[in-house]
Amino acid sequence: MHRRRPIGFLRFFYALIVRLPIGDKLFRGIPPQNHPENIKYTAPEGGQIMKQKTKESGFRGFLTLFALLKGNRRLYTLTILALGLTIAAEVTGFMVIRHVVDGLLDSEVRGAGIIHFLLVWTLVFLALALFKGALSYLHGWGKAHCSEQVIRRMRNSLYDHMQRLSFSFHDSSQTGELVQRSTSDVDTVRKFYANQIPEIFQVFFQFSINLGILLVLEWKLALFSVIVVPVVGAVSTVFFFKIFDAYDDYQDVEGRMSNRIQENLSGIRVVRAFARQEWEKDQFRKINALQRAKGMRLAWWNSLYWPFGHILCGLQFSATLLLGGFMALNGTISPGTFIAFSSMVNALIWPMQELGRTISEISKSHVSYRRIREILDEEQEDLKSGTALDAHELKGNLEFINAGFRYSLEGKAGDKVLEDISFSCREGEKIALLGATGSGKTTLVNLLPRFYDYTEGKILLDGEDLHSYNRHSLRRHIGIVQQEPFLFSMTVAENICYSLDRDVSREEMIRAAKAAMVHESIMSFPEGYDTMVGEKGVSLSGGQKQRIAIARTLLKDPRLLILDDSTSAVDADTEEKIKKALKELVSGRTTFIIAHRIQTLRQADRILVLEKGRIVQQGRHEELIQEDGFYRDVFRLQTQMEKELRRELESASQQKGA
Amino acid sequence: MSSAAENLENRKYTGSLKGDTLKRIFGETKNHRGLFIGFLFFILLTAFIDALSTYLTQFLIDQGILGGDRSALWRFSLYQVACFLVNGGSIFGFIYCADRLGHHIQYEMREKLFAHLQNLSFSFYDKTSSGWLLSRMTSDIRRISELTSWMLVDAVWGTANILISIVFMFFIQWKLALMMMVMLPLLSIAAVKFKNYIIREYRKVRSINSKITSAYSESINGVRVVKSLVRERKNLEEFGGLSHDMYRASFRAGWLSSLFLPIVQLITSFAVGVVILYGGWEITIGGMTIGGLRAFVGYITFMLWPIQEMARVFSEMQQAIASAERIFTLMDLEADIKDLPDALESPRFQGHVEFRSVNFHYVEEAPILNNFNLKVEQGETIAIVGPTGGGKTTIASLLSRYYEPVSGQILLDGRDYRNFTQQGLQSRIAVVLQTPHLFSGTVGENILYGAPGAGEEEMLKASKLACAHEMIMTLPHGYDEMVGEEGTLLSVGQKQLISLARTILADPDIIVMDEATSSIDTKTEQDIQTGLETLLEGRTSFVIAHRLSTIRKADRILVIEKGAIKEEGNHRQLLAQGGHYYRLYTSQFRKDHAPQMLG
Repeated sequence: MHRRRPIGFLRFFYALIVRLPIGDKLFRGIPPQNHPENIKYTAPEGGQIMKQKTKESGFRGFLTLFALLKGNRRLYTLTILALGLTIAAEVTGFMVIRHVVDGLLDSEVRGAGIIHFLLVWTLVFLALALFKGALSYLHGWGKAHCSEQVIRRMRNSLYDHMQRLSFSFHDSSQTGELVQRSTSDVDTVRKFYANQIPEIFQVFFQFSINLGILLVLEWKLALFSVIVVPVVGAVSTVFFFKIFDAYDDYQDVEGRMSNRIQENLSGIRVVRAFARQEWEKDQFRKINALQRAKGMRLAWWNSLYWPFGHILCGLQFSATLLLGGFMALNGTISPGTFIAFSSMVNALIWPMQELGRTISEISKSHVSYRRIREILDEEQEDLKSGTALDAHELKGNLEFINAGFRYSLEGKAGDKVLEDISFSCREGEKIALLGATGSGKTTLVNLLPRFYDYTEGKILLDGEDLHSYNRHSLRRHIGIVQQEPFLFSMTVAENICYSLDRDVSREEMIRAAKAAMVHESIMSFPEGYDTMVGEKGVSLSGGQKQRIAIARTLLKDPRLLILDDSTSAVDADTEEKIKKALKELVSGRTTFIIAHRIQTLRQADRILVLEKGRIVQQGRHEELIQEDGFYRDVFRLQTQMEKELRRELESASQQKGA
Repeated sequence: MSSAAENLENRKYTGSLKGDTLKRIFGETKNHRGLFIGFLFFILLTAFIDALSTYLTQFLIDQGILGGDRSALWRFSLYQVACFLVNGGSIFGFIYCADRLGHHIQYEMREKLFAHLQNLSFSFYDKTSSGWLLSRMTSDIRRISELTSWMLVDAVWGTANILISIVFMFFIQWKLALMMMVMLPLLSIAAVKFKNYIIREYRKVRSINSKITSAYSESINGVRVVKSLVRERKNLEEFGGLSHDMYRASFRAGWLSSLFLPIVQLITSFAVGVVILYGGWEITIGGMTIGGLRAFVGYITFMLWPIQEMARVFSEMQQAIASAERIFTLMDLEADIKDLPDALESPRFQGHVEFRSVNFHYVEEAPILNNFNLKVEQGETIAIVGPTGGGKTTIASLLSRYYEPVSGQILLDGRDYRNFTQQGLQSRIAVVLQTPHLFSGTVGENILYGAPGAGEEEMLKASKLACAHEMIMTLPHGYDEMVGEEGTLLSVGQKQLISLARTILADPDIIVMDEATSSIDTKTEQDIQTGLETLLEGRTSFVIAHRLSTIRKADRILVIEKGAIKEEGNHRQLLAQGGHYYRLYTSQFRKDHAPQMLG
């Protein structure tokens, strides 16, 4: 016999309050993305699991959630069927009890050996229980397998897709947000397969099987017993949307509150410096109180809803029992039937109370799914099409003909970042770029590996349009050393060998590290080349990072090189080392250097002076110092400073001598 | 005390169900005794009424249906309706009380901890990350509030439900009840053991999940490198391995937990089988009624749920108690630096500063300052130069009283600064930091942060003095421009100008400056220079200098190395000496200037 499960709803509160991912609200206000007609999603196993038309929105988009089950559909269907059989077994259990009760009341049966009768039916009951247990396990096993499989595929496609999205996409999105979508939103979608769909079917099976049997047993009573069902279903749905709204509000404030705390903690020195503790406390109290108020509202909806459903279902249950009782009195139904009836009515009515929860959770899953799709619907960079290059094929002759670039934001053209860039360079030449922050230096070099595609004019590489090369092989032959290189949290060795598809021998790696002047530093780490970089291992200085990046690039052996030559962050000794390392790197390769120093600029074959996205001067050092302009200003300032220094030192030493 | 702070993050928190922490947690509910008692009362009432209503069904069947008594049928049906009504009210009661209680506790603990954090020492913040503290403020406190409300609801309800059911079962048929009594503990132990096992499995899942999260964030952060090094395929292979591990772990946890329910159900069904068999026999000999049998079956299936949930509830309670241990350790930390009981509000200082035989160390084995003496006249600008780790920043921190000397004294206008309250003292000493910290809000709000009472005119005046006005007016919304979280929407140069205006508006008597210029272009540097001069004029100031222009103009330059003054004098004097300063200056000169030209 089945009673309602009060702890079930306590558990729900738990889910509501504890387990829902925080920070869902953070994603609100993200502009809807463009939906290209067709997108291929490369799946890790090589299949095209997520290939779908993605134009649908709303409900049809929602239906694609089912399409993701592809490959596990049969098992998932069996899983759901197992659930149905479990419930059928349960209902059969009620019928066994009915039979036992009627048997106990039947003098004929009692005469024929009651022990035997009871033993047989107890065994039948236990057999049913075993059957039910086995099916219920199968159901759990199957849904765990299917949902985890779908989610594994989803994680892989998201991961791969994101690393194949364009620079512009990553420029305009925040890491935290993307990570949230790939983790907590994915988990919400997992629950759709693991919990919500089975729950919906559970309610469905419980309702239909119980009602079916009831109808057979006594149809009038059966119909009477479900009067309240649509009401409870509807009301609980309405209520749960309310509750979730209230919960969203609550979460929203929670997010704001933790921002507030975060700011306070990271700025605690400023707070103290200006002695503003009291004010900070006031500010915090306000948001804290707001959250409490939102919490109270949530509490109100919660405490209103559950008793409401309880009383409604309770009244229905009592009324059905009363009516059934009279029928049993009149002999219309047997006492056993009455007892079975009461159990079935129980199993029929109470789940309705939670239907609303499932429905509103599904709507949440839908929102999460949409946020995931927004990422997946972004167009990937095309890495493969175009001419592929072998290392020796690329020479590094470049020609810029009135090239320009503007960002495009959601299909609309943005501001011009580069305009009318014309120059050419031959294999092995060094090009230096000079200009203030925001003058377009970085954007210009980012055009070469096709991180951004130029939008105007033309860029020719070895006489061919740059756009005709495939990005993959282009990038394979272009090396970049940034001012603040990004290292991964792996070992030093893995970081150095990061760019290579082939296996690298220890000797080769060490040779590169030596050439990059970083071998000694690495050997001083606790585990040498096997030391972890980053949070879990050593923290490297700027100079060390830079040299590891140089070693990494040396191993990559690119034909074209881009250097961000800024060593302001390192001491003189390190600077010397970096210089040596760079010298090794630069030799024989076409090199673009973003430079600040006359010393560096002087050595370049060609200097481009950029201002607001245009080349304002170009030429060699000797030519440029003859011209009036930015370059000469910089040159003069720097040499003037040298002079000034010398003067000061001289006067000081005179003083000393005096 | 500071050693406690040191280990705070790494300490182990057991979460054992010990009395002390638990007592203290429930001590937090003392302001809400009404709600607390209310919800305990209602939850017990609910459990009782539930059991009672099952008990009453017995009579409805025995007396009403089998006894053929219509009035009994009516009567017991009405009793049942009454039960549902009372229970409706009681459910409302406990949800309402528990929820409210939880929110109150959460509010109060956050309030308390936040206030406490405002007063902890700098040494504490040097050792404790703000991320760690944030989790304490948010998730730990949330867990404690849940412990006092929902976890308690579950625990009390579950226990009460089982106990009350057993009592009623004894009323119906004591022999059968005894049999059940033998089975129940077995069932409970099995359930708890198994559930604990599953919980361990889920812990594994969580640990892989955090790996996945960091894999995502690393690949997004490093996407530019990934692209330029053409690593997409290999990355995906590696990630594929991780997501496969995740699949295996969570699938395992998933099917193990789907084993749990059938097992509990099977044991319960076995109990029901015993009831049918033995109860059926008792019925034939008159030791029990049909209604009693039904009630028995009802009680047993009813117990299934609390037994199933108990293990989860206890493991969650353990977590919550570990949270509470963390919170309480944090709350028990005392500030290293406390105001003396008779501390005075600070007057305006003239600006005489003296370090008298100051000794200082963070850890005993590594002394930073040893018998450090320094006398500064009113209005002097002191530049402090020297290698990293030499003690420059320590001098600044001691002066601002973020730390206090281990021995010796620091005198302001001839009085030991410990005579003043920290808050008063610190509001008279301005600290201009290397990387200025702004709060999210408008530019105007940030400038006013230094002097909340100031009017708009004063603010404008200050920002003009700081040469920030012009820059601010170029922003689309001027003073109402939002600066973003921690000022991220502005450049470092802009932030520095705003922080300068903020300091000028605060009108301090003594200034401590830790400056850095690497991120400012030449034009801004010039602007800041003018603003700085305004600020420094007539005030005693200490500048940890990187900027040569400031060093050259200082009244006195101290070369600090290994905690002692190696050289002292003005620019010309020191250059003439040809010592540390000379070397430092010449080597720094080129390096500092080249990038500044371009920004």
